[in-house]
Amino acid sequence: MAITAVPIIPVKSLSGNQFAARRIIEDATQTFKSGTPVAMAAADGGVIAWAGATVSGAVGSVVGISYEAASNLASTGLGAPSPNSPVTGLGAALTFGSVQNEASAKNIPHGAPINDGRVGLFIAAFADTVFSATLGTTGNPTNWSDALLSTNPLAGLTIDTGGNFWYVDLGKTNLVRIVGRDLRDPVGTGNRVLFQFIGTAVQQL
Amino acid sequence: MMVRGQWAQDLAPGVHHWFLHFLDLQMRREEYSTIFNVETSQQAFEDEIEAAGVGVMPEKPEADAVLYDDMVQGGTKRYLHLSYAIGSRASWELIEDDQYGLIKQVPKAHVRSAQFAREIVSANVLNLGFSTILTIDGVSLFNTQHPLLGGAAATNTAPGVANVIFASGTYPNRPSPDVDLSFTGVQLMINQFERMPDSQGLPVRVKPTTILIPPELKFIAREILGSPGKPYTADNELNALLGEDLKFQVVHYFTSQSAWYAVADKEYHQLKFFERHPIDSDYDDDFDTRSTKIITFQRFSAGATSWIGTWGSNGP
Repeated sequence: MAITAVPIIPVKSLSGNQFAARRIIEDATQTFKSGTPVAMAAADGGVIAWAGATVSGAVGSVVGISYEAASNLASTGLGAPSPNSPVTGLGAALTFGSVQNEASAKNIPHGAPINDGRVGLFIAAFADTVFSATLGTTGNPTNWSDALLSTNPLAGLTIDTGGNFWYVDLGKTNLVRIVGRDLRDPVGTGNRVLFQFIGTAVQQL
Repeated sequence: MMVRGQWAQDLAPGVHHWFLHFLDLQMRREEYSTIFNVETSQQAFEDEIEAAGVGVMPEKPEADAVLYDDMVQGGTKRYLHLSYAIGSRASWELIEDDQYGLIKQVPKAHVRSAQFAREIVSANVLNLGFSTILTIDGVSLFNTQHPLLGGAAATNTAPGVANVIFASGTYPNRPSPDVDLSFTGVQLMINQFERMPDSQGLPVRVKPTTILIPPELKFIAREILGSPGKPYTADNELNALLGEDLKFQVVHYFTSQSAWYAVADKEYHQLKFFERHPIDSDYDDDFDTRSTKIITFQRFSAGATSWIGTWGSNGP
């Protein structure tokens, strides 16, 4: 049976404080979903979908978990405000139709979601934050076992077979440390686990 | 974090006067509200949409059917309010030992900071108006070719614009090339205002009333606008600009020393400032350390819905 992962979300902080989060310019043409691991582009610092390989802590490693979906911007940070400036773009990524004789003008559907060229993420390198994600082993669903904490707490992240969300993969040992069971789930399949990122595997922000 | 080690002079009485810059120095009088139309907002954003009317009413020959023309919906300008905030922390011990009540004045320093933020953000609508600040037509606020919804028909309709425009179907509110503030530069600006049409080419009543300048241009502005004779000539001609009833306003938040701008009275232009949340302060104590956190915040947006009624030159 294939894994159908759910979005990764932060579920608690060790300190009790708010989950550490940032909003950073989004790279061009990104379509990642909310609740997925993201990295930063070396060329321009825009937030991109994590490619799934780099776990060295260098550029290309996970910087966080997105808390909003990417907007498929035409260019990196399109419309983001400069320091001490208002939003320089449309204020929305959704447009429709065209405007007569004004090629650059845009129709924004009324009520269209706001967009300022940036995207939000929960910081991975902040050791205070505990995330929750689906548990699996190299593509197969895996049930929680109390022995996990003592025998196999290290894992990685792998995107599910539908290419949607990422699960905690016991077939890897390079990115996260499982710290407990997500008690919201009943015993059985589809168990979610709590995890934290390994500090040396993620990029510091 | 402000602690007693950094504020040792605050711990003992006897200082005659603390020269507090944010209290003893007056901030400049509010400038953005003299330029922008200030409105309030109760939402995350405000959308504005423009629409053009119809073109010129043509003759209807006898017994001939009337010609129909349509109003034209234009694009959307969204004002997305951003949050601005600043915070300070002080230890409980410093607050308790503060002999002059200085720490209680922190919110006033914050307010000074907040007022500057709204001034500089608003001024940057103009500072960046030659590049990244866009109006509803999708091009920069100050542009030599603002596209008109009516297209070429609009500039064909608009009387006398052939020598003003740089491309058919467009209208400028910026010279090409940019010009310094000068007698002829002001004349050029006035000419572009005088011929300014709406999106169907019908002339609109927009009269430049205020030239906005950085402090460095104050003296030349006074000479150009105030001299009884034509400035910089020995021919004893009248200063023809006197009849234009133009005034100038120094804006201390302009970044360029040579860029200058002109605007009509506020009801004739669409520069807007939306107040989403006024300047507000709050504080709280940390239970464990008993230190105090003070934050001041506000939400607003500024921008330009339309270029009509505005004009800018980015110096030479």
